[in-house]
Amino acid sequence: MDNKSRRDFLKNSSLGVGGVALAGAIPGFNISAASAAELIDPLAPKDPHFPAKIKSVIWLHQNGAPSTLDLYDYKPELVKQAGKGVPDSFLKGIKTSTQGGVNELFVSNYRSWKQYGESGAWFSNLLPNLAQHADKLTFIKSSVTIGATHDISILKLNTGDLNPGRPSLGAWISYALGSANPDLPPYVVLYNGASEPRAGSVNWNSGFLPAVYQGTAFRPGDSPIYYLDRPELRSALQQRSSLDLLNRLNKLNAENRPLDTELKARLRSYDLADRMQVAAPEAVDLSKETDATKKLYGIDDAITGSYGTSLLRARRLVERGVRFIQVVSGAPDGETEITSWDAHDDLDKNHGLMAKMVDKPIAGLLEDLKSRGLLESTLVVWTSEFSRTPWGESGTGRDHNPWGYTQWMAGGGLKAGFTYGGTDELGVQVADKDTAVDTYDLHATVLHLLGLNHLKTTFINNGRSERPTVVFGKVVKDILA
Amino acid sequence: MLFTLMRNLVVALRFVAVVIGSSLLISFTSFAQEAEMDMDLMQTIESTNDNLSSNIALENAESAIADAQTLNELFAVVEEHYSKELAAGKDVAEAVDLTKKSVKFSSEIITFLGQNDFESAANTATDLARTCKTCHNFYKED
Repeated sequence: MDNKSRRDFLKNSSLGVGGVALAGAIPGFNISAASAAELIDPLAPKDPHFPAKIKSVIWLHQNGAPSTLDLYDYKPELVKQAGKGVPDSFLKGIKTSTQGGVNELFVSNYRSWKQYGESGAWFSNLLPNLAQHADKLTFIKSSVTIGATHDISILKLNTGDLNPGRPSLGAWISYALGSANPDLPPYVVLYNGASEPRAGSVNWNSGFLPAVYQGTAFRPGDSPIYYLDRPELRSALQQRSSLDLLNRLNKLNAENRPLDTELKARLRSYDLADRMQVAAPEAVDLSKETDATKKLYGIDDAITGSYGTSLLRARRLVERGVRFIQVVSGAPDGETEITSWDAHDDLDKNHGLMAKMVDKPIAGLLEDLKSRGLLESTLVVWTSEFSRTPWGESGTGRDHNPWGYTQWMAGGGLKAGFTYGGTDELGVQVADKDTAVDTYDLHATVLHLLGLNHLKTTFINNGRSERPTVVFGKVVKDILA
Repeated sequence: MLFTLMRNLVVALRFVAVVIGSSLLISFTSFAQEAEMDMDLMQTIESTNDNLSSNIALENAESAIADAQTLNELFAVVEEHYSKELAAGKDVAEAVDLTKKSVKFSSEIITFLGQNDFESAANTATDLARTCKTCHNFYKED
């Protein structure tokens, strides 16, 4: 056997082994039925394990950890006990090495509460617009996580683990389902504010999965992706001619290497970049949206404008088949003092601004999705790395609370206007530990709604079968419709 | 296959070392006032538990049964440790309950795997991992 044929043999063998590995790992991926295109295109659409309830997810990460005790989780006992110490019985079983120690219980003098909708869900006066959609929401009031620094807990929120190296939820979804739109990435990250989100791309990377499944960050502004625009000095005709020549040469080369999947994947990524040069700016171009729609998202307002723009772009990406859109809250344009929900002091000022920034845009998103018939096939998730304590810090702020807080979801396959779990009377920790919902339970539930069994969504890494929910996650079945 | 065999061999050797170590530790505690849970034992449990989940997902029944059996025996050691502490008047009733649950879950996994019921084994392995986590949350150091 000469060198050339030995190489061919190895290539052929590796393709076969790779194909078998893929067949075992990816749902709906049957080696006998897999076409050559599927084998060489890692983003080819794949069937879920069972019929999906939703097609897309909008993951609203409220960066900095809002106090859900000031938004959704009304505690009359906390109001009564404000200014007093926290009884020891409420602290049993938790480690409270928070920055400011355990101080007196705190409530804001500016907070008021009302019930909304037929479900009677409580909302504070910080979220008057979102409150109008109470009956669309499914609250998880028994959320828990591991309290660490923001960066580490954000990593756990997105990847299920405290250490870097595991794929983010969006990457697992891209891996398992592929892309529904060949012109756009299946996993997009949006943010508002002057800089990239805290802790950066580790929160949308693909970990040990192939890099093709990582999220693509779309920057605020007209040009969403770095270096996507044609350089000014090059005309469209020049660029087209160069690309056509490159394409011809690549095809000639590829014809001589019919089984070289890496080469074909590289060519595909060139093609995708070419197509995205048109598709991505169009997907985030709001010029064809009506004034009424823009107003619905608060784009006409200085405080809500940038976040509203992100959410309207998210809806447009849902319409174009993007599977997972991770929206990280930043700060209103021009705001430099308050850049996240992290209110260790002056909670009223911080949450007054942050809640105003997100309230109208999220309400607008829910209304817009509903009116377009998209809410039934989309999942909107309000999530955060942890929340904040019922006791005060620095007199007017709150410290970090990973032991019991509220997250919510809205969309297809869920019991709408429903509340699952709850915290104790002061909002320190989850009241019934059996109802605790950790980040990987949330991930398992999102995957379930997408038609994926998290136990069967697997990838072999270093000889070990890995899954999105580490070894812990369980679907929260009680919230499913 | 070779990798799996080697990994199982390493786990088995670590288990033998841990059992011998634990026996020595138990003997030692008859002279000492109290024994602390051996860190190596906990790390072996964690790593065996990770292997178990992987082997169940890969539907590798033989290796998964070996992992579950190892865990079953290790949890019996942990249960004995906490039962003695409870008898000595320590506030570890929760730990005794949770390790009993772990022994039960690991036995159930062996049964499911013997029937090639990988789905039930996977669900029970998740319950087992969550029980470990609950125990560590409850007894985390201040």
